Amino acid sequence: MTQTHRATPSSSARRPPKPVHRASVMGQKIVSFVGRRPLTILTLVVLVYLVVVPLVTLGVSSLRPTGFVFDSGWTFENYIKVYTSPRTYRMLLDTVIFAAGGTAVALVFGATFAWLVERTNIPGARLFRTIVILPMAMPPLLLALAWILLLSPSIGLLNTVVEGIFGANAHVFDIYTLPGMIFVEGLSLTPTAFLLTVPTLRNMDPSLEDAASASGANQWRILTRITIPMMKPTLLAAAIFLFIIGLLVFDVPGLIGIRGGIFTLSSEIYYQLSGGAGAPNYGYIGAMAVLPILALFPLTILYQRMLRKGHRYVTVTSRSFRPRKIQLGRWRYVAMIPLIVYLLAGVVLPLLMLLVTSFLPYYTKIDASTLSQLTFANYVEIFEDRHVQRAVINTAVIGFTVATALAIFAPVISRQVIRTRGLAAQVIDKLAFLPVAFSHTMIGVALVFVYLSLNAIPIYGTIWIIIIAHITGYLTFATRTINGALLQIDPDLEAAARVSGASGPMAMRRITYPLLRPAILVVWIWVIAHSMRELSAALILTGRDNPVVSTVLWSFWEGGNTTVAAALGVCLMIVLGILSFAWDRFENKKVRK
Amino acid sequence: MLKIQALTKTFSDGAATAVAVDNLDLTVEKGEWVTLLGPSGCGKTTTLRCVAGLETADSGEITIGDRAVYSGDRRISEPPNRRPISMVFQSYAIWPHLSVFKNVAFPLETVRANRREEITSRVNDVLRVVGIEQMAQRDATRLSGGQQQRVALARAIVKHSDLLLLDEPLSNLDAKLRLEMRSELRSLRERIGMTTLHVTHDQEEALSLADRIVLLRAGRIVEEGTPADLYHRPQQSFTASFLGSAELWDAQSVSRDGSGVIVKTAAGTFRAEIHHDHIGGSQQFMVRPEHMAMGSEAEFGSRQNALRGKVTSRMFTGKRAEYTVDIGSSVVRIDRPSTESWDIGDDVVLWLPPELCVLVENSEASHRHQVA
Repeated sequence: MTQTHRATPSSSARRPPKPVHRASVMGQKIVSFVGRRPLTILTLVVLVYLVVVPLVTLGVSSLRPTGFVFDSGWTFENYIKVYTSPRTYRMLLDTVIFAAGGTAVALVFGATFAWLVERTNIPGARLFRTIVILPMAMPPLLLALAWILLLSPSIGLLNTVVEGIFGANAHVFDIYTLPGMIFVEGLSLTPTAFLLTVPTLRNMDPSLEDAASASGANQWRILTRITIPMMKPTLLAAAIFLFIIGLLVFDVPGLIGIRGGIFTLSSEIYYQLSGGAGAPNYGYIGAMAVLPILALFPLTILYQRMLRKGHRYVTVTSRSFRPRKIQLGRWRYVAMIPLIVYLLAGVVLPLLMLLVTSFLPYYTKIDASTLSQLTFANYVEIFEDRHVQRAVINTAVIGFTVATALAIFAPVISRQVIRTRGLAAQVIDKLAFLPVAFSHTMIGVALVFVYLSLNAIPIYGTIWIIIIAHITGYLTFATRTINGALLQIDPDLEAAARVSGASGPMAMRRITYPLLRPAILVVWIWVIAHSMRELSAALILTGRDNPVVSTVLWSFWEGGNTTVAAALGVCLMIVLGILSFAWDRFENKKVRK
Repeated sequence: MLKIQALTKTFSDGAATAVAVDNLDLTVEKGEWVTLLGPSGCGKTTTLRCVAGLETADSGEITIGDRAVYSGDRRISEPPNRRPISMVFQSYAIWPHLSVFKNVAFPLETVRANRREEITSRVNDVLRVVGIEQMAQRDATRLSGGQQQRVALARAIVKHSDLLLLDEPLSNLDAKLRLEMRSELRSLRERIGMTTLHVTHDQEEALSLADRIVLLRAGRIVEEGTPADLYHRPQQSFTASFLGSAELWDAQSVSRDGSGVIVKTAAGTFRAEIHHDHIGGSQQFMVRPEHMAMGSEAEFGSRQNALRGKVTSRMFTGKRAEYTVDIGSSVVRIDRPSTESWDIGDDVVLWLPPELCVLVENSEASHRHQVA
């Protein structure tokens, strides 16, 4: 009756590890690694080329006396010159104030709107959600342009109106000031702030607040003691993200700041590079660009840490109910006021201003008589201008190429980051995230240095250099979005394909990519929209052969051709509006379970 | 059919290293159904995934049929699609963008030699076997849990692979559905008879489906045997506790007595008919709550293996009623048909039938019943 199975004794001795020489193990591992994973190697090579090479080039050129990478000699003189100049510190201070101010404005508006839309019974919530996104169709470039038209001290429309009421010497505002810049930047960042805070609010576990309510807390208490503290990591992450953008952005400081004598990081670099302060000193410029990038690394790490923390505070289960909406009662309609104000300031007024200006024969004070002289001449001019036509074609080609390249490359990166373990995956992840610390201006500058030095690759001054700049610039967004989508796809789905007999590539092709298609589409649309409106890098990389819509707009504007610039801006916005609409539509269908 | 030798797999996330599978040896004969059973973290799923090729072990050998699909020494590691296996995942992993038919046809489509008509007929056959032939054109996202499970099964058996791997196939179903699917799996098994390696933490599932159960803990095999052997004649206290409930007492001394053993414990001296030849290690006396009889002094008072005590609680669970009885040195759980009714405070005598009592080896360092 008794069975005599030999049970493995619970305290069996473990086999001692074989002593192996570490170097040979390392060597064997590398060889088998390379042989078995060509895709990983390819990814690493491309990432290094896109991300590391520009960075290193900038660094090296900052240490060269002439600033050219292949010239001889090392020196710290560039750094000394930059960081002993009071101009530099003035510039850095202004940059920080600008970024902090813009972040504060955007976060106050964006987070409040997010809370109003997601957590209260404000009327028309769904409409508002769309409306807050609308300004994304208006690039900061055009927003800045419109607000200059509205608030320029000499002929700004609003100033004119105020002068009409209060007399000739009272003007509302001089936009060519730091507060003016902060205002416009805050407006342009509000949609982003909104988008960053909405998901957390939407996915908050209602039982946490219900528990507070059951313990006797009233609405205010719940808000201040539970909701806001739970939001803190997300808000902090959003603040860091917006702050980084504010530090690096070019459009507003370039258009508004330079005219007012206020320089930030990116506009200062552009100013130097375009000869505003004399012949460009490349070493000096390199030194200016490098240190901020290094200073940004700890910020980006902090950002990632805050993101992770934020995810832990908020639980998302497929079966949880939506958080309860706070009943505003009589205050419902009052709460709509800030939203409407934002709508006016961020969308309606600028749009109208640009529209009206685009129909003016020439730029002047707007009064009854000018309004009778409206004309289509500006539009005719841009449609007939050969240069503009070329720019439009370039813009379309660049946008399409960049978007498609990223649509193909980002899933490859994501798959390795999310689905594989090991050192290579982590390196790829870090490399794909690095470009966050670069402004587009810096990417442009770095590529100027790279391709001026590398005469063998003759892309300087062509659309290809802009294409590379854009791919690098939008790489992080693309990979992060696809990462998010891939995380929601059960890895067992691909594993099931493998055990059913499909090879790796076949499983990706027939299972993973079809499921990723909605997210890839969203990325494609977003990238092409942003590429079309991008100014900073395109401006730095301007050559004979690569005009794009934004740089042509810029030159019309700087050249005093205000009305034509406005007309071109309106055309650009129509295209962007269509793309934004499509993006919003597809965003909601992003992942199928 | 399947032979695993000295399989070892560790996971490290930088800071900590965990041994998931520790020097494991396992054989599954052709046509046999072997279940890997154990608590979470015991290494059963890792072992299964190593066999599937979804994980690569650190060392050891895995042979399916006459082919080594993994060998640490010889640096062989075949990718999953080249192993003669099929698998049902815990989440079913039904592809949402394909119909039921296309889901099940996929394994046949990976072999380019198969012709359209043949694929169609084979898929329809297997859909009929699992009972979902009317759903062939349905979108895979519109299936209930039980239907998804059948699709996953159909997809796994359509290829007639040498080895079928099942990863907790029933744990995502609610209780009633689970029972239903369990008996369906059993009948499927009778009809098709694929060699199967099955992983679960649910002991009832293991007991009802397996030809042989392999009990795992912390990456090592604790014990293996047929369900009946493991349940009625366990060698380890861990096995006794994991499969069903067990009352355990440390054996203070053990002596042979004919075909059985006499065991002295803190609760008294008992006779056990079931015992194995152990070499050293501490031992425990084990009896299952449902095997004990409960009665009056007159019924059992004069018998060997009797325990006197007072009823301290009663819990009605439908078929049975669970009692706790204070016997002085400790409190004993006993499980009787619910038609009996004992009250709290009753003086009772428990009788432990020697032919159902087992002497097991103590798998733990800690003891369940402390000396009072």
